[in-house]
Amino acid sequence: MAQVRTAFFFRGGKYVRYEIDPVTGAETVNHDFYPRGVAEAWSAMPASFTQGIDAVVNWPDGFVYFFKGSEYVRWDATNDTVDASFYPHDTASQWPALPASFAAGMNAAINWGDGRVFFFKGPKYVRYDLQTDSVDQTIYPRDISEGWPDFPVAFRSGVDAAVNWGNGTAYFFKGGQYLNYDIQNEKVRPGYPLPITEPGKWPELVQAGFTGPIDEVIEWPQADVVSVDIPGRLVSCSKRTQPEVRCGGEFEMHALFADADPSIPACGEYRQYIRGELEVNGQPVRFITKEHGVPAPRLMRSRPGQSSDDDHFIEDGQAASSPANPFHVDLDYGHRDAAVGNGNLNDMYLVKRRSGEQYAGRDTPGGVGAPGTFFKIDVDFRGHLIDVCNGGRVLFTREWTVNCQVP
Amino acid sequence: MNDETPRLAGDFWVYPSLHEVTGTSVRVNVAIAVEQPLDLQDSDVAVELVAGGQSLSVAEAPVPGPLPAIQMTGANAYALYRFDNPDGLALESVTVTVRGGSATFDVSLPVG
Repeated sequence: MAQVRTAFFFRGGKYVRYEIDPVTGAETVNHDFYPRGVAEAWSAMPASFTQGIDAVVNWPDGFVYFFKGSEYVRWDATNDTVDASFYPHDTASQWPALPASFAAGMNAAINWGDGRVFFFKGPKYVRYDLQTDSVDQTIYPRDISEGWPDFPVAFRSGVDAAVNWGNGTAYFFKGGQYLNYDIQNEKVRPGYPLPITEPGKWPELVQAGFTGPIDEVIEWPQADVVSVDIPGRLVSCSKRTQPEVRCGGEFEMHALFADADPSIPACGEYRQYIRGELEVNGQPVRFITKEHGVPAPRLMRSRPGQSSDDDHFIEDGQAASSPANPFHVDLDYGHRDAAVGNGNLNDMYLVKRRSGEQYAGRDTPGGVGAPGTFFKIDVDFRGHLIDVCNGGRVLFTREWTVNCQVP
Repeated sequence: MNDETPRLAGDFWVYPSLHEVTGTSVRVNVAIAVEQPLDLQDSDVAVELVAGGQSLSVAEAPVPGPLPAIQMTGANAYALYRFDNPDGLALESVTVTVRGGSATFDVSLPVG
């Protein structure tokens, strides 16, 4: 289920979007669009960060950090927003683990994919522990020449940009040259450095005019699905008539998202949609639902006619309107930013709502009424797993029906 | 109904749908968004159907007790009414009241 990976190369006020096919390794750039101005496309980016970014690094919770001079910006990759009331912000005050010389400015950063992030500044680097949010300041800052002994001389004095390519390779850029680094064996592959313009190596960058120096590169976070069980344990009709009438179905939703940078669990979310027909005591009735982010509730729609282009599915949700609502917030499936967090046991990301790799949901659609109540439930469900860090790209889809009638 | 937009009646989103509009009676099936099934009793809800400038009389109303409900992510309770309209008066509005809060819907256009 691997998806196309995306990397962004920044230089000056421009950037290039690089797409990597995970199967063939083919790398492409749409040269009709790129290079493009950062200010033009990254609309949430503060103006001072649309030119000359120093370092960029992704974090396991779906945030991407941009550094420039002594300031940084936290970009939320799950919804492409920046809290403009707080960012840009002084790096030193918010990154206490970074040595002061690095907080004052750095050249490059790279998420190593194993719980470590490396920051580079001039001939020095630091190793940042993601688990403990700490840097061992008894060791770091350390000379690149000590920690990366097989770096060529030109790279020991500093690097311009670094990126984890997600396939066991990291690339380091300096001026018009680059290194191909074998992460597992911790060494520069033979034959490097090479010029970016070396035939057959970075033809898309060359065509885009990005032949160096490059300010920074980031492999963009994305969702990848490891396993899915949706709908799990599906019962399409279960009914009883005493002590009250119950008529409906039940199912569970389980998904596991990959946690191996740049596959970030925070980028993976579940969505559920409904359409269909309902009757109570022989009368057709409508159902008021609430789509996430839509101000007003709306009505579930019937199945469309065969010639319709509109599938009539709308999101399955509930408005925070009733005083009986124990959460007092809108409820819907799979949105990590739900105000109720993991307080709704039928809709949880484990262990943490924002960054958990497991999704576990449960639904029991159906009717409940006093003895003698008639119900007819005939509802289609659609479950999606989507990548919210990449425009809501659908990673998985499945449809099923709950069809139940009593008596 | 002029549109298919639920409205707030006090704290509750509601939507009345009209059915079996004949020359002598009209059914009004009211959906009320609630958090849990069986939240609402029949006595929590009232519906007024106005036609030809007058309130039509209720011929059928929910039986006493908790209203039947259907649950998806949340739940809707249902209050089902039938109103007499022996003179075939032109329908004008439906007002739904839930625990004191009301919402009025224009039903003067033909039922879609």
